[in-house]
Amino acid sequence: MSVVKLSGDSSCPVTPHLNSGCGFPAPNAEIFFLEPYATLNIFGMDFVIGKTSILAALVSIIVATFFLAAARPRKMIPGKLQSLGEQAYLFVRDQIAREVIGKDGDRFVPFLGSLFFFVWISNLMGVIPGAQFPIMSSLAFPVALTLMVYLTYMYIGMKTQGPIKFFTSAMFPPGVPKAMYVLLAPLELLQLVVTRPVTQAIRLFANMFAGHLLLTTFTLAAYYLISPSVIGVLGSVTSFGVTVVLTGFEMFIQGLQAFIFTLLTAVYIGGSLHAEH
Amino acid sequence: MKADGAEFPNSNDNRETSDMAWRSVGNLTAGLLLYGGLGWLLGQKFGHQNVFIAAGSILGIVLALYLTYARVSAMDRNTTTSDRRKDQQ
Repeated sequence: MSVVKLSGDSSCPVTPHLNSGCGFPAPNAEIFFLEPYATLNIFGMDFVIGKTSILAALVSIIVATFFLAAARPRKMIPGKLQSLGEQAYLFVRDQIAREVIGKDGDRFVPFLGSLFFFVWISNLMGVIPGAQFPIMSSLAFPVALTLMVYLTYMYIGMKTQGPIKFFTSAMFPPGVPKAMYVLLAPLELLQLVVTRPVTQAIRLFANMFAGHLLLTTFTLAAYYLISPSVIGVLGSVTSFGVTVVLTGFEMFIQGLQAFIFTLLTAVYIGGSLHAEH
Repeated sequence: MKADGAEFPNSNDNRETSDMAWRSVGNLTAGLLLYGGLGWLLGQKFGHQNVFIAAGSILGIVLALYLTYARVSAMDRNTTTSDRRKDQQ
């Protein structure tokens, strides 16, 4: 019986095949830590230029260019680009802003729209050939976006309801016996200040992280199993099929997560604007 | 399509419903962190760490579930009264 070498064995290639006697190189969290192309040290802080930051810059440019180009001619009879831009705008306005914020929602459409399309296209980078890395699977990006959202609704809430009322309306939910407030008020405060933004960031990050890991596993399996044997051919074809199906599924998740992220942003902004009763 | 400036009477209900689904997760996490953490602190002081952490975590989860239940019932009452009002008109 031949001994299967572990995938980390120095005599094994990085991506071996089944018949090479090397084990399956199962992907792990390391695939999310890409080699930086350059590191700039500005004012004692390290700024890393890598695939992720270049992709993020690219996504910003794509989204901005699309909307600028779509809004540029502004004809009465819209062309294809303009009507696509209008559809995108109306989707965010009618399905997210007006649906959960109400009539005050319209002034948040630019913010919500930028968020939705930035997150969506960033996620989509996970399946676009050549890019194949969902930007939101780097925790820093969801955290930065969530921080922006967090500061926005905290500011709006304290401005429209007053700082005290903003916190008390969240801390003392209706329909609860007064004595329970001793136990429930700190819990609600913690959920408002800490767990709400944390879960919003983690939800987006974890979905993109898991999806990318899953796709990588099956793609690598399809490659690894290619070999002149029954199990190799069967396994490789199956893995490839699963990869194709999962890619479709992943694209659905990418859109869904971008939608949920934006919807929650709208929910929190709406909650800050209108005190709970 | 709705006209500009029109009222959106459902937006409050929509927001509460969307919020509720995700809020319960935040509440559960907050409950576990807060009362589990409190249990850990008490355990540091009085010993029997595992008992305090377990009791605190369970208390946190129970409180979070109760909170979700209370909020949903309050939401339910609001909806039914507004439905009744609509029926009377």
